Amino acid sequence: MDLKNPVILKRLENVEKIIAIVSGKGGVGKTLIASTMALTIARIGFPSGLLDMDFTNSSCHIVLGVDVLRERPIEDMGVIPVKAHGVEFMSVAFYSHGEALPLRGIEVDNVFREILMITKWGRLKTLIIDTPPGFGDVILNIATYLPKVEFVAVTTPNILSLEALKRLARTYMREMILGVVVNMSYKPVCSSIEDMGFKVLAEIPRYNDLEEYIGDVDKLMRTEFAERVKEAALKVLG
Amino acid sequence: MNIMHEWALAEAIVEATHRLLSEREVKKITFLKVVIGSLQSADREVLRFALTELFKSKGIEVERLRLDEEEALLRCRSCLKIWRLTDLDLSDEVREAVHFIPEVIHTYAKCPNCNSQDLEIFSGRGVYIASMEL
Repeated sequence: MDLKNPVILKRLENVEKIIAIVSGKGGVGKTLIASTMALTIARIGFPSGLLDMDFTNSSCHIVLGVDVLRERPIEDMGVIPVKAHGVEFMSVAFYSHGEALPLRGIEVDNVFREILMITKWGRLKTLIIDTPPGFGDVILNIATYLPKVEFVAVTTPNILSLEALKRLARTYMREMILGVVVNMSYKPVCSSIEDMGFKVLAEIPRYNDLEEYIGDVDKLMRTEFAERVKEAALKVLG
Repeated sequence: MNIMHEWALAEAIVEATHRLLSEREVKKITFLKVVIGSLQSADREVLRFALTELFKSKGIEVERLRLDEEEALLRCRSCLKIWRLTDLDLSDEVREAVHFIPEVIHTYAKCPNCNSQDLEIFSGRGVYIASMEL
């Protein structure tokens, strides 16, 4: 069965917006932003979903405080995502039990196809997708096979991270970028990002105590970080 | 009662077949061979029932439906040893996880010869159409 299987489109037909959180470099905060954005959208009052597509090293469940050894998507002619803090949540971590999943290219394709074929999302305003860093298999599959997908690119002011954003801007995926979130900001870079032709959705300072809130959603959502992610989420919702 | 995931596997086969037949304006399959890889341990009878019902709902007639099982073999990319899934002592919980996403076997399996986790599913991964006659 190929990646163009019509069932994938059928499973996503009740999803209004698909937003992939992407970055060329790792360590920029994609997972925390993706998870917080999905939680924010749910708290605003829209049905929200979160799909962790960082298959080899999934970690959204850690941010959400979901115990993947105890909770499981329910089997029902496919699987129904776990409801976590009002968010429909799906991750391969439920099946790898939170351990590393060493995969090569074709295997990444297989997991990509399988997880989309079996997951039965409800009617969602947005499905936020967390992705692995770089421009590899998962990003290409998302760009090629998911309908109406838009990207939110995450960068830090770090020169290497900005360079990765420039590179992304020179690929065919540029057209899919809805905007950029500047995370862990410590110097002004918004104008140079706007010079690249991108809208800045939010500029988030570096918060040294943020790690204390990972896994504790109520506390996380009361942080200034979450307020800044909300700014971006409102722009994403349009 | 929750309905089994085999229905999702059957749906993927039926939807892909339906697309193919629609392009050719055909409504009848004289012979369809579906292979069930033992790694995914799909229930053969549930799958047969789901395929039959879903093809019927699409108005597609399948004259002869054959379901064959394929043994799951793993191969180590490092030392090239090939071994059977049945050689592994997997818990029921792990078997269930692999049933949904066969690739998670990469989390749980190691080469019995060199201990590498750089493995490939050599055969018997999941459910697929092996041949179709119109």
